[in-house]
Amino acid sequence: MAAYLARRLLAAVPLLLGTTVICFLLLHLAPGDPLSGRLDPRLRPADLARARRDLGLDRPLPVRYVKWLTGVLRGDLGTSLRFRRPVAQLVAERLGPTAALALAAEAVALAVGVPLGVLAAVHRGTWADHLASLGALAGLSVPPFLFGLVLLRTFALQGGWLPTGGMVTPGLHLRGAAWLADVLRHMLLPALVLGVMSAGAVMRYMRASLLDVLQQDYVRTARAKGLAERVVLYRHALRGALLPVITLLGLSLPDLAGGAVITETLFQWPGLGRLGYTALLERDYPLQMAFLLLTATLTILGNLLADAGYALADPRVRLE
Amino acid sequence: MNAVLRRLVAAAGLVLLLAFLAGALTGGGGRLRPTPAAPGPAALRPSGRPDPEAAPARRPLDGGVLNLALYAAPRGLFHPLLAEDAYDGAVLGLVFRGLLTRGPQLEWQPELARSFTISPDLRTITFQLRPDVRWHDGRPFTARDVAFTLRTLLHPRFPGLQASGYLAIQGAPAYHQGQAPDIAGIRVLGDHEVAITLEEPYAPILEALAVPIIPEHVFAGVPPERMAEHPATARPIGTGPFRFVRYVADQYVELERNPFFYRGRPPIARVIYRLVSQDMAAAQLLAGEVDYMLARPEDLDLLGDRGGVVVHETPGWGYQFVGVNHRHPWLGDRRVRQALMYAIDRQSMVDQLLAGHGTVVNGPVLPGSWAYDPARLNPYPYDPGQARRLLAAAGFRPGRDGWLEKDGQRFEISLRYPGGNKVRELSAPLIQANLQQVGVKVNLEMLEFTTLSRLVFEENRFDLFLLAWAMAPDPDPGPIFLPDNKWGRATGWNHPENTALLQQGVRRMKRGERRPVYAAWNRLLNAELPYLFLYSQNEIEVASLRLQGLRPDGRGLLWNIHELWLDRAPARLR
Repeated sequence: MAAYLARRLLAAVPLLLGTTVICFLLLHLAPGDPLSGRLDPRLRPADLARARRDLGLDRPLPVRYVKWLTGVLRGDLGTSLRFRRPVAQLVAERLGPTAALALAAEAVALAVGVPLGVLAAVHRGTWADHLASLGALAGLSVPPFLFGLVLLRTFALQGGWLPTGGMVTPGLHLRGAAWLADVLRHMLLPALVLGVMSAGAVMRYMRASLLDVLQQDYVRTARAKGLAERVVLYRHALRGALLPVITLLGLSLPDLAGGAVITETLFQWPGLGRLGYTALLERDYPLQMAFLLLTATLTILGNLLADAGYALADPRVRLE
Repeated sequence: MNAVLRRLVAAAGLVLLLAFLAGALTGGGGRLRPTPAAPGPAALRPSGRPDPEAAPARRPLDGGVLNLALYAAPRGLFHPLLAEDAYDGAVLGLVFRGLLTRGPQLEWQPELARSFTISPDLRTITFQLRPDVRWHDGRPFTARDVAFTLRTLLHPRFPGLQASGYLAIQGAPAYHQGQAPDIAGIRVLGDHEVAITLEEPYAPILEALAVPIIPEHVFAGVPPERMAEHPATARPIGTGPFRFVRYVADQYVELERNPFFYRGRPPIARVIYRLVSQDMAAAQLLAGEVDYMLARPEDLDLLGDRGGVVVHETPGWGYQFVGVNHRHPWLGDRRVRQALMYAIDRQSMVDQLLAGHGTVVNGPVLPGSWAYDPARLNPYPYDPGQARRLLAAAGFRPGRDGWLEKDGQRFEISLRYPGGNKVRELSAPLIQANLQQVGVKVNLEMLEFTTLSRLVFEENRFDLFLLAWAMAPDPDPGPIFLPDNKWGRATGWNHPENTALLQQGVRRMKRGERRPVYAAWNRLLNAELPYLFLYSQNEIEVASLRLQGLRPDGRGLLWNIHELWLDRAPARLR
């Protein structure tokens, strides 16, 4: 399996390179540049032209791409045009909060989705199945901002039990365990919103896949051996049935990094989503490219993790 | 592998799609120039509690944290000469001070200056500085800081983009182009005296000279092009009532009081600019988590009837307009533009979209300005009949399908507008419906902000567009109606009297002498209609009743923040 993973990682290099070329071209095809959106009458054309030259925007695209790539290879992602700070710093500041929220959301998705899926599959066709399926449909179809607003209204504004936004209480400067508790309190609602969204999908996948597995020969064999239904279900069937769920989680890795713009905005979570969104609006090319590089890497990594997860969960899968 | 690549391309496509959808969610107005102060007649509506003036005077309580709502993350560029948006600007406003500030009538008053005099030829302004001002690090503030600030922003390699406002200073253009080592028009006459000499009189220079002053001893020797990376840009040192403590990225900015502030130690111990979602701010104010916010008209539904907040409303300095492409063979005809103006029901935009929190505007000089003169201005009341008559006079006849026609061609034009400002987005279909009433077919095209800016100002490809300008209280509009630059050139409009009037207006210094010039200019634009002027939205500030000592006027609620104090017990109102 190690050899397989190494091969896959090696193959990812040209893939990433190709992605950066395509993304670089696409991003620069969007009309305007970082200075076109600056509607400030104080700006004179001469000043704008000078600023464009200073930013290197007057050079041909291939030259700019090569300059960007050589920078990246030397570990320099460039300087953000909007923030005038190194891109790597900006991304690094937000990586921790993003990862924490993403992990918490996945935990919620699994903790809610898997048991509900199992319940629905085992009691297929009963009221429990219908109720769980209805819940999953609701989780998938309720817009996150609406769900978020309802949670905020109930728990933060009316109840006063949880903070209305942010990652820490402003101005307290807590450390250690007190800081962690403060962050967890702030994280609860956004993690719930993101987690419940994907819990619906996890539940549907889990149910369908478990129903499928329960029809398989090896499950029938296990039952024929006279094993208790619990052992058949949890030791034999569940492991095989988890495969699609693992794929789902692996592939949602890049979404969690950048796809939480709405939730981040509503809860004022200092994550990457809003940073990437700002970069797009303002044509902040170095920041956009760093963001796309990160998303592409996570996508490749997510696929790889999903494949490795297959091998771990299903004894029939061997990665060569 | 193929599948992965497909997903990646799809992801990239999605990201791009998001970029275009993005316009639908944010952006817009916030990018325009921040308005330094609010104007004119102010309406204070303290609800529920007795008027603070009438209550027995209480001694200010000391201490407490004031939480201000901020709707978008600052860039973290806390350098007054580099800051480019209103969010950094809000923070800088408490940390830095300039030579001048606006008084209750929005006239210029000395701030870091003790007094200032203008020479009889109107070309030299001499500032006597306060001797008691110290920087937040304890060093004294002197005239050399003033000269350093002006030289920095005019430096040929300085990346800030505000130099244009200062080119009236003698010797500034040559210095800005790197052809002179120094600026003759800036003279330090002593530790506390500095004189600025202009090439010729230029009234808006006072606005420019109100720029926040930066400390020479901190930035001396730093190459101007590298100032953005200097530690004092991330942790600024100013002379204002509050000192910078920290900015936690995308979370909050923390300030503490400057105990040595020259107007006295502020009672409020700390100010926190808290990032909040605009949809949540009103509820957070009621919950006591935020003490001050800028409100939208719809927020007042939640806030207004609770009787537990102070609402302060001032006319805004910005105005919304329909930009017109005068190169278009039909739109270049003045009668057609006037017809469109009569056909658009602007009052119902203010009544319905702004719930009355705004004013219809008929020219670029706004009703709240000292330069405003309503005499002989055409108010263009909503009158579709008049619009039809004007269009008929311009040669348009209804075609077989009901739309107007001329020379066998249908009157069909596009209206391009940026997403982001919800009120503006809603006004576009109203304009479309209004113009349909008189037989003009309008096709709506909502675009992302940057895309629109490029089409309008760089390529001049449009028939009509919607946008707003945020102006300073000075009636001089800067270059936006002058044909010598890309802002003024966008519409393709020019008029021989226009440039002459604008030049006259800036060469006079006294309000009384400038007023007739701007009145005449406003009448010219009211008749010629380079833009179809729409409305100006009021600025609505809301504060919690915890905040005491408010003396609201045209400058807003927080202009005397160094005197304000906080009541104990953050009231939870619900």
